[in-house]
Amino acid sequence: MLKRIFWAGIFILATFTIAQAQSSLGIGTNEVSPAPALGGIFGWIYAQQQYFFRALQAALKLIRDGGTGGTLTLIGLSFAYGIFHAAGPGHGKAVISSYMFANEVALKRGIILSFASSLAQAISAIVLVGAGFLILRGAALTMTDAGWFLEMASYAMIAGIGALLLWRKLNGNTSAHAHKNHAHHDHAHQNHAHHDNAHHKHSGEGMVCESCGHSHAPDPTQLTGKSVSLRDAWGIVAAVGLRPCTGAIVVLSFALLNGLYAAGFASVLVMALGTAITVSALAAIAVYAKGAAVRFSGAHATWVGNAIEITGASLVLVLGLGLLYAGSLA
Amino acid sequence: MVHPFSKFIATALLLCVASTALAHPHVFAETRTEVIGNAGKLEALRHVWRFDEFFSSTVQLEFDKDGDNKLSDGELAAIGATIKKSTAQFNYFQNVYDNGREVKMTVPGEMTIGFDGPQMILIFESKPSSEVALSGDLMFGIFDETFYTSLDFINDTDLSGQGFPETCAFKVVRPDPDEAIAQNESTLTEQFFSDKEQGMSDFSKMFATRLEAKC
Repeated sequence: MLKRIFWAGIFILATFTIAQAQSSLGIGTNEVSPAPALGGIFGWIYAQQQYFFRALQAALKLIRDGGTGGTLTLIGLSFAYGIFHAAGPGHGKAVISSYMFANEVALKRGIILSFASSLAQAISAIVLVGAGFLILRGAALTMTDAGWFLEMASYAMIAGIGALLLWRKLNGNTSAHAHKNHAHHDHAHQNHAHHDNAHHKHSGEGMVCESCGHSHAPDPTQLTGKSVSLRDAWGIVAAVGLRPCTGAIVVLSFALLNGLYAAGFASVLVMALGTAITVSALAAIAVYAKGAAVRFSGAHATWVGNAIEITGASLVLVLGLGLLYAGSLA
Repeated sequence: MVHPFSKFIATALLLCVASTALAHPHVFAETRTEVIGNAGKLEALRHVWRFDEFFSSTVQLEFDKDGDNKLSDGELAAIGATIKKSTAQFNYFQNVYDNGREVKMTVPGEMTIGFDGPQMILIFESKPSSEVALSGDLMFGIFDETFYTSLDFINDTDLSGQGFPETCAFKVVRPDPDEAIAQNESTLTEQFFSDKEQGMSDFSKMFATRLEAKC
């Protein structure tokens, strides 16, 4: 217990001392993205983002000015924005699909996780902007600071979940109850020293852990028939959901300032619905890809299954550490 | 036949790449910049940036410390100071090249913030830290290398040179990012992964809308 408090203290201290701003303008949060762009469609993405922002603004203004059709347009745009935006840089889909690789998780579970974490993200945006609107004005803490704190907490949790998954895998122990929850906190922080390594590995090698194939695999009998514990699921939802989406924050700020409360909340919730659909699709790809790889590998099925799960767990860990590192630089 | 495990690795790679790339802006500003010359030397870059209403709203929420729905002079000054401090790390979103040499820029004064209705306007002047003679090839690029802010010059006339020698010829260049990436893919990847800062700055140089002057 003391150890937990100690590490929690170190973590809170670290988050307040590392950096001030997380975006180049010093206001608002940027999305941490390990690679700046994917060649070929960069310009298109850029234009789409601009188009969506302008269209969302136009719809909100139409509602404000009492025009007709504004609400429907806003809902439609928000939904589409959610679907497309989730294909951009974001930790949610990467964490969830890696998690699907790391565990023997049923697709249904993955979809529930995707929806729950997207909803959590919407709620965290609403709470953050709501607090900014109602409480933080007049307080020394700014929305940017609060947002940054949520972001770092989210990344630390992701790294912690990755470490926990990997630890379980390498110890051949699949029970969540065998280790009290402090296990994941300890791991997250013990790994801080390796930030640099993790980050370089992450960007240089397309996030695939090169030593995974050589890891000691757990006993095959332990790899079947396990399920995600409820605690794991809550962990994922909280880790992903803590970090609100920048798009949701700006739309909501505009809506609140213009007194469009219902429209703002509706827009953010519908965005989350769109995001959940994209993330579910990626989770499904992860499940099927893993299943196919294991089936096709015949005699090596156990080995391949283990390798995939260890890779998945490593990905979650490396992703968390990479985001934490990149975020602390910003 | 392809080994099944390599298929899996390929899928995993694809997933990872798809989920990590695609940075894109969340803040849009209609940008006007005048490059001012005086007596054959670069005097300053003068900027007027008009931010989109979404971002302007978050700024208003964040800096309205007394919660009166209006930004006082002190609150406006705090916005300017925050942006100045933050953009300083990025040469104030400017890439100035004097015959291929990168010029460090300073902002000696304040960044002034005003609101035109719901839209925030940022006005500032940036000067070179060392003397730049208006001769040879000069390049003035405006870009946020972190891709957080999209600085858009709506018309070519929004990025102009004033007070240059009459022999100078100007050209506004708007690089097509996809083309730029395709042309520089291998060197870019190498640079980006070997030295982050250098790589990023080259990246922004490639994408920046820029004014080129030949004198």
